[in-house]
Amino acid sequence: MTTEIKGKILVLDGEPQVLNELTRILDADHYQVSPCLTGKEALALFKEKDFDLLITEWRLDAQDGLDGFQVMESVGRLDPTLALVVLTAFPDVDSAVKAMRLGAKDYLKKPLVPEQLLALVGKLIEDRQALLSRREGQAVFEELKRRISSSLNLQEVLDLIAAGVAKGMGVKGCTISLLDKKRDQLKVVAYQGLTQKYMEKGPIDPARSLSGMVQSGQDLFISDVTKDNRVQYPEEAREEGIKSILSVPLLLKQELIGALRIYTATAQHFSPEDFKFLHSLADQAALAIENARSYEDMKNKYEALRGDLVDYFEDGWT
Amino acid sequence: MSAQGKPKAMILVIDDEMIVHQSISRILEAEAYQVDGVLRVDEALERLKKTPYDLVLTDLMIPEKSGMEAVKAIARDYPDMGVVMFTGFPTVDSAVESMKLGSLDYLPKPFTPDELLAVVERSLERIHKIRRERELEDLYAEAEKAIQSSLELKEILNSINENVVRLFKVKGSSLLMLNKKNQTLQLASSTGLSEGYLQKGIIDATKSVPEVLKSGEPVMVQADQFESRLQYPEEARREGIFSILSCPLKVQDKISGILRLYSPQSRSFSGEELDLLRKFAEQGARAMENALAYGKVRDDLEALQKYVPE
Repeated sequence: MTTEIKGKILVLDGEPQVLNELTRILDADHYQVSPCLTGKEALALFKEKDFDLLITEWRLDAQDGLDGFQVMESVGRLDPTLALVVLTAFPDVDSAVKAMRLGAKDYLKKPLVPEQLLALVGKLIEDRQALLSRREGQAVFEELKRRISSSLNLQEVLDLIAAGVAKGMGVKGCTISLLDKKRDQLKVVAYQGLTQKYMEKGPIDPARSLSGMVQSGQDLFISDVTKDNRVQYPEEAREEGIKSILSVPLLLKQELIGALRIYTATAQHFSPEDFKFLHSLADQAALAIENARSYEDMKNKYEALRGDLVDYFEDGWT
Repeated sequence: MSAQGKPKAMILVIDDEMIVHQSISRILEAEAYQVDGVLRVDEALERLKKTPYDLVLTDLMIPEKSGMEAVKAIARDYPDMGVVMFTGFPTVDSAVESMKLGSLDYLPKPFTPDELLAVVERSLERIHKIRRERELEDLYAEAEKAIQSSLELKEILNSINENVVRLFKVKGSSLLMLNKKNQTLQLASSTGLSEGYLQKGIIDATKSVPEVLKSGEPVMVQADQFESRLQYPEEARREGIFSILSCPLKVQDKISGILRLYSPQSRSFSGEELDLLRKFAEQGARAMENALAYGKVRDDLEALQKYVPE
C-alpha cells in the first residue's frame, strides 16, 4: 500500500449490501475496514486484532442471538478506549438511549450520508489517537516517578527528570534550574534536548525570568519567544529552534526551590490534563531533589569529618 | 423529605408544570430522596451555585431556556453532579444530543414510578463511582507526596499506615517487616488496631497468608477462611476484623515486608483499587529504602563524631 492507513475500523451489520457500501466509502478514505455479518464473527476478530472504532447496527437478526449492544459491551470491556458508533435502519428512542448509555459516541440513521460518516469517523479516530498518546505519556511519567523516588543521587535525579519530562510531554527539550543557597541565582542543573551553546548563552537574571513566578508560585507560559519581552535571549532562542517556553515552579512546602522548563519547537497547546501531570511531577521532583540533597549533605559532612580525623591521626588536631 | 434520617440523595427537578413536580416528588420522596423543584433553567443554575445536589432531572421543553442548556451547563460546570433529561416529546435526535452533551439518561414521559426510580438509581450509581474515582486520585497524590516528604524511617512507616487507611477507608493497617533468617514477620508500625491484637504473638511468615510472599501479589482473606489461612484467627475475630488484605512491599521483585489492611466487614477491592495499592506499597518500600540509606550515613557520622576531640 502506498498511502498510510488512517485507522482500523470493525464494521458489523447483518446486511451484506450495507457492509459493502461502508467498506467502499471508508476504504476510499484510507481506513482499513474489517466487515462482519455476525456478532460472533466480530468478537472473534476483535480478540485477534487491534481496532480504533466499531461501527455497528444494533439490530442483528443472526443465529448466534447477539445484538449490537451485546457486542458493544463485550468489546468495550476488552478495550475501554475503543470508539463506538451505532448506524441503524431501525432508529427509535429506546435503542438510541441504550446505545449512548453503553458509551456510543454517536447514533446515526440509515440511509447513511458519506460526508457525515467520514467527518465523524475522522474526528473519532483523531480523538482516540490523542487519548492513546496521552496514556503513553502517563505511563512514561509513572515510570519516571518510580525512578526518581528510588535514587538519592542528586545529579541522577535531575537528569532523569529532564529526560523524562521531554519524553513524556513529547517536546523539544527540558531544563531544570535550582535557586542557589542565597536564593538570588537560578542555575541550570540539568538539561535535555538543547545545545550546550544555547545553555551557555549567558547568565539568567532571576529578577526577569522568575519575578512573576517567585511572587505567585504560578506557571509562566511564553507562547512565542520572538514576541515576548520577558525573554532575555530571544535571538539565541530563535536560532536554537525554540518557539515557546513553559516554566513550572518547583515548590517544596510552598517555597520556591527552582523551576522546570519545557521548550517546544512549534506553537503548542497544553491541555488542563498536561498541566495536572506537570504539577504532580513537579511536586514529586521537588521532594526527590530535597531528599537527594539531604542525603548528599549528610554524606559530605561524614566525608569531611573522616578527612579531618585522618589528618588528625597523622598530624595531630589543630 | 423522608420522615426520619438523612435523605438518600438530593435531587433538583426542573419543569415548568407544577403537576410534574408533584408527581416526581411523590415518587422519589417515598424512597427517601430529598426533592426540590424549580420552574426555569436559570433559576436552577442559580440554585446549583449554592446547593450541592447529587442529581438534576430536567424537562426538555421549558420556556425561556431549554433543558438542553441545563444539561450542557451542568455537565460542563459540575462534573461531580449527575443530570438526566425527561420529556413528553421524545425523539431520537434530542435523546442522542442530550446524552452527547452529558445527560446520563433520557426518560420519555409518561413514565411509571419504577421507570423513574430505576433511572435515578442507575444515574446516582454512576455519579458515586465518578466521585469515588476522583477522590481516590486526589488522596493518592497526597499520600504519595506524604511518604516522600521525609527521610525518617519512623515517620515514613506511620505515614504509610495513616494514608492507606484514609485511601481505602479501612479500620486499620499494619506494616510487617520480613526477617529472612527466621522467617518471621515483625511489626514495624500500625494504626487502628488494639494493643492486645498487636501483641498476639510471633508471626510466622510461612503460616500467616504465605501466598503473599510466594506470589508477590496482594492476597485477600475473608472471615470464613480465617481458620485455614491465618495464624491467629480467634484474635482477628475478637478484634472485629472481617477481612484482611495483604500486599507485599516490593521493589524490583525483592520483598521486604507486608502491608496489611483490616476491614470490619467483608470488603472487596476493585481492580483499580488493587493497582493503586500495589503502586502505593512499592513507593512506600522505596521511601523506606531511602530512609535506611540516609539513616546509615547519619549513624556513621555520629559514630565518627565520638572521636572528635573537644
